[in-house]
Amino acid sequence: MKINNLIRKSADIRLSILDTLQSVGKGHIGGAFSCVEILVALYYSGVLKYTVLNPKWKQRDRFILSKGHAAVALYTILADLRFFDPIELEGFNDCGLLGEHPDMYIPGVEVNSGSLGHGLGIGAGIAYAAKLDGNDFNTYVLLGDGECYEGSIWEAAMFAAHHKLTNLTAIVDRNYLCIHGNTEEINKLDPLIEKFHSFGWSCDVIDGHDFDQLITALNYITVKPKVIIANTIKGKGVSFMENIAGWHHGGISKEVYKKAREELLNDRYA
Amino acid sequence: MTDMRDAFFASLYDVIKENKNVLLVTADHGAFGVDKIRNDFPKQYLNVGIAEQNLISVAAGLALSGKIVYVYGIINFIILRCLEQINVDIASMNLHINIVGVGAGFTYCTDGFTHHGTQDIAIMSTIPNFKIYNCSDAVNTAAFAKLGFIESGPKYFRIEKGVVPDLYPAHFLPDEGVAQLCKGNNMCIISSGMMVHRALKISNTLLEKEDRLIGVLDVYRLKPFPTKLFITLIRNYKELFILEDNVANGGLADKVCSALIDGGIYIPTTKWNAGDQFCFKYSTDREWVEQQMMGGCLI
Repeated sequence: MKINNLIRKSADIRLSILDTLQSVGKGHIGGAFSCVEILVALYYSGVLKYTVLNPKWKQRDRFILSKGHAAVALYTILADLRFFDPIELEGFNDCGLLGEHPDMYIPGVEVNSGSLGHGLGIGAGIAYAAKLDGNDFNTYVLLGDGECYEGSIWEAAMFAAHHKLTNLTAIVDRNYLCIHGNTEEINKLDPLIEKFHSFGWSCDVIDGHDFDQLITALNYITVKPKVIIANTIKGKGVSFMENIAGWHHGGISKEVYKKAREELLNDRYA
Repeated sequence: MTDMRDAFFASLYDVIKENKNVLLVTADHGAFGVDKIRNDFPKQYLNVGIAEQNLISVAAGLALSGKIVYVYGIINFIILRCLEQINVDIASMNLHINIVGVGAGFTYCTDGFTHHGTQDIAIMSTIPNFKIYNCSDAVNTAAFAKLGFIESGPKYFRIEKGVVPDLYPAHFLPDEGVAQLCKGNNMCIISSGMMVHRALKISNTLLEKEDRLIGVLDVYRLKPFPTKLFITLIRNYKELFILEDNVANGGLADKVCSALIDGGIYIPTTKWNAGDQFCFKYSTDREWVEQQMMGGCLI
């Protein structure tokens, strides 16, 4: 898919996420919107190898949404690709297949997540097994930046570097916001890149909403495990949600929905 | 007689030798048998370093890739330290992973409460999909190592180090979950793991001194509890004693009482356990530490 189409796809995904969350009146909209371009780059630009008809295809690339609270963004993409019927989105958090955090019983979802700090270790285990078996698929793990407070992330980072897991890529959705404020005011994460670098990873810092940068970074081949620090904007696409920590999980009233939709539509047809 | 831990790893050695898909993963904890596997099958051995959370997550990743994984370490460190990883990464995805914990009860009797495995049964019993096995001799320990390969799904094996008399015949199969090692007249001691040997000692002493025949049951599968067979075995006893080296809550006694309710029977029961407390008693004599913690129930 060409860049312009990826941009339009991102706008469509955001509109669909908003529709889904509006139907239940609330949800993790801020962190879902911040990672839309990352997910679109993975699923629509040819980075991830997958087959919709056989989600468990052995040679597929693995994608782990370690920041499970952004599940609605992943669901929207999996539905759009027809891993499951898009009608399932209408039952989001409402007695259907899809809950606030993803589980592996949903077609296209690799692992259960929702508790932070688990995905990188699981991804490292998958990448290690792939090397052991001579499989050439890659494993991608999307982390929240606040998730990088978890010590388990650094246990996994050390392990991956030691075993030279070049088939493992971590992407940090660096929107700088946790639930209660800026990461640099809560407990400094920066210099995050230097931390990963010192753990033996190949590091890149990019604009996480720029497809040229995303695709280049995702396709970059290294001799170490790779982390992409993707600088993003929490709530990206809706002016009154952008960079506001409170929109980590917010209420989507009819009024909020109407204003947000208007902005997203303007963006879509700009 | 064989050291129980050696029995486990000798049995696992055979499994690993025959099946390239089986891996032993540790957080830098060793044993003679572990060294043998590491030396002879280096591709099937992985030491992640002292990082138990990552140990469990990596094991989950391996199992998701089709590997059958044994993770090994001291009970408190591979259960309490990384409980959420066990819950989310293994149990919720029902993965074929065997957690092998050494240090049940007061195995590490000089090392203090940080090394005493007295809370793990209660904690692991809350986790869906997990089966819990407790080793009581070298024969069932070796059988459990094989069971870990044959039977899919998450399992937790509590193993011991040290030598104890064999309780089971060489052809033992760990199917039933509970065995009556000694049939009594009116009273029966229900136990598990190393405490089974204490129960047998009590039974033998009372037989010699007072000519009283006390039954002894070994519950070697704690979850799922073998309720049906258990009820059959204890139904005719007049009094029960539950002997365990676990804390007062959530251990064998709770399981026995639950089974009695499920079985719809009431038998007067006395609970002997390590109490609702941490242990700050230190000795190379394990039985002394147990006596300090469990009061006068041990002879």
